[in-house]
Amino acid sequence: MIRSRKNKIADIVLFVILAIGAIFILFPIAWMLSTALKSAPEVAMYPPKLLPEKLLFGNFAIAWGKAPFTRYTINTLIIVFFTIIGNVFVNSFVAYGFAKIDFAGKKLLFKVVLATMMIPGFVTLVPTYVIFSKLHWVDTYLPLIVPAFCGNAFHIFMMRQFYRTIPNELMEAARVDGAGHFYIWGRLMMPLVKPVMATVALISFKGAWSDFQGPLLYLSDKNKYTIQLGLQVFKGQGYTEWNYLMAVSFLSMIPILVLFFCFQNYFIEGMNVGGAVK
Amino acid sequence: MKKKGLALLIGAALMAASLAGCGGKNTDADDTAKADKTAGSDAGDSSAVSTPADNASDGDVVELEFWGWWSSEARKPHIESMVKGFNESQSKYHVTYVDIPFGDIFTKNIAQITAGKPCDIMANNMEEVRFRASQGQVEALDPFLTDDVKGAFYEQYLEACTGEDGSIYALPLSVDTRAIYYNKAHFEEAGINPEDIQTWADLEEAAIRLDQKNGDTWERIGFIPVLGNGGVDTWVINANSGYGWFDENFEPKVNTDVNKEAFRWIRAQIDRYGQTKYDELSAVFANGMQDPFASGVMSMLVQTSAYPSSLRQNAPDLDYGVIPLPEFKEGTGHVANGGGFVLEIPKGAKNPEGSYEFIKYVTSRETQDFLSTNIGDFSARNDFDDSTEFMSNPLNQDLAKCLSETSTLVLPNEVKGYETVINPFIDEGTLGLSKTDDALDKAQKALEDYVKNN
Repeated sequence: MIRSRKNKIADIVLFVILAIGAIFILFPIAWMLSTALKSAPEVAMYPPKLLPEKLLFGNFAIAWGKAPFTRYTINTLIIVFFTIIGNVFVNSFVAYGFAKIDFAGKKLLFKVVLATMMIPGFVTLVPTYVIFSKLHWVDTYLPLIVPAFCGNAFHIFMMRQFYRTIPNELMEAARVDGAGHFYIWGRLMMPLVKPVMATVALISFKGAWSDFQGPLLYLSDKNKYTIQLGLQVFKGQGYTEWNYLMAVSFLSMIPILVLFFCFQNYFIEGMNVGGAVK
Repeated sequence: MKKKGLALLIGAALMAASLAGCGGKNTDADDTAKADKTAGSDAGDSSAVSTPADNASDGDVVELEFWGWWSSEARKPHIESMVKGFNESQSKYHVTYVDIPFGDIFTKNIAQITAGKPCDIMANNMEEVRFRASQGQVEALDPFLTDDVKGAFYEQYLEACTGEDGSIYALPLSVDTRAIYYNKAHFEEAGINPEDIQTWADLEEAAIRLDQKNGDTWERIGFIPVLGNGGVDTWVINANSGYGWFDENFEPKVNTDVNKEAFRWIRAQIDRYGQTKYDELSAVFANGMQDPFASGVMSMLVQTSAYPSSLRQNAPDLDYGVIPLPEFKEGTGHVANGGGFVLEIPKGAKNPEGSYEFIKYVTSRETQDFLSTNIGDFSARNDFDDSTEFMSNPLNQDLAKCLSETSTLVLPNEVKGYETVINPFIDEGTLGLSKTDDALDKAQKALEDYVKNN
């Protein structure tokens, strides 16, 4: 009886702590939504109010119409789609090699791959731009998509750890039956590593969807702009249209939230590489 | 078979991406395709800019790209009209305006210059023309400049566009200044005549009369000098009649008696309201959303000459005026610090002559009047007088008076980045972490070391 009461109190305390944490995390989103529903003078009002005097739902339509955001969304989806394809399949294949195939220099090569994570992106920004420029890829989506097909150290590492939790016997049995590595990877391993693939897909989606610097650097044609670049239309030299900026920012956040909630089980399983398939 | 299938899929994916990315146009290797990038077509204003087809038949038309960061409704349509005006004024060049976010535009510009394929005309800040020239990032305009063009700008602004080698690397597009914006209703209620505010002492006295406190709560703030667009440097430059942390020989002069007195005065204004209130308001201005002046909570505020565009949106009914920064002591001058933007030709641009033609057009009196009237920026031209449409607005006339006493001090390249050295110490003073005199002494020492090491 006392134990059950203690458990109940512990549950309440836990609930309160989690609720406070959730409020802290959700407050910026609530503020974003509140700003999106205000008029410009109300946004500038000091002291600020969380609840708008009048809910201006029309701000969403006005903001969406201030630039070709539908086109920007389609452009972003094109980049996101191919980035996910590249990241999921290429990294999975490379990770399989590091996890399941023995070859000379494997450990050293893996360390080299991991070491690339230590190089700050800003250092390689200009040289990479020069390479893509010489390839005449500037103002196309290729500089934003092709790197996804060239491997990503973090994703390779994560997938390799997941592959290592899969018993080698499975692979060896297939080898006895005459299966090659490509077959084993594609037919045997892929179904088993779905959680980590979903995780990589989700991380890739978020990265490509929210990427600002890449599209900014490589795209000049407004018809090819992504949604993140499009948001800049609300920022002026001396004035920012905060309500519209927040309205489109809020809308642009929805796909990430929807995807996360749809795949959250896979995502959590994929991140928990230590407790994966045994 | 499966291998082939996957390879085919990846290949098809890349191909599709490539095609989608090109969007039916050629790469930047094909200059004529750039005309497709007309921003006007996005805005649904197809008539605003010449279409590529207009020029396609003319083999001599050179396509030029002009980069700026004006993407808002308040500015972009006017920039596009200006570009259209240039395109229609001649048949040799066709300019396309590309707006890229402010701040990030500079990274992109550097990357393109390094790759050898920069844009043709670039808007950039005035303060760092000299630095960019020394780094080989811009083309000199000397081969194209004529005396009548050079003579059309105030000397100080043309000086800011001049490199250490004496060549001119840019022409001023717009200039700004700082002034004190005041709430007319508050002034009337407190019985203050704005013209009576001539010195710092007058300003302090007016602020005290404007203050309103209910118990421990400040209901109205008269004035805090280091909020809005005012910093300690603004007041130090004012006190030193144009020179800030350096003397006329660019020797560090941070902890002079004048500067110490100025910083103590600033500290006293902050202390009147308390550190907590200052920190709160400082955070409000830093986030950029709320505006206590537009909300009627502050009676006076230091802001740039671009501030009216923000007030038009945030407080359309606010009745306000501007006064120049007062004199530190009688006779020291109403000096404000200001800057501006220039047009320049990035190093390696394919047709500098065409780029210059566009720059000359934009900085002409007629175009400057058009831009000022529609956008609200001030021109650096010395023939930009009361006869222009823009200057017929009384508020602009008042701001123009402030502009006439604006210092655009361009420091040598050796001291570039000095702000990162002294600002932490200055912040200690404004945040109340150390005495203002001590903060300036420490900043002086740090700046001397910095200059010595450079």
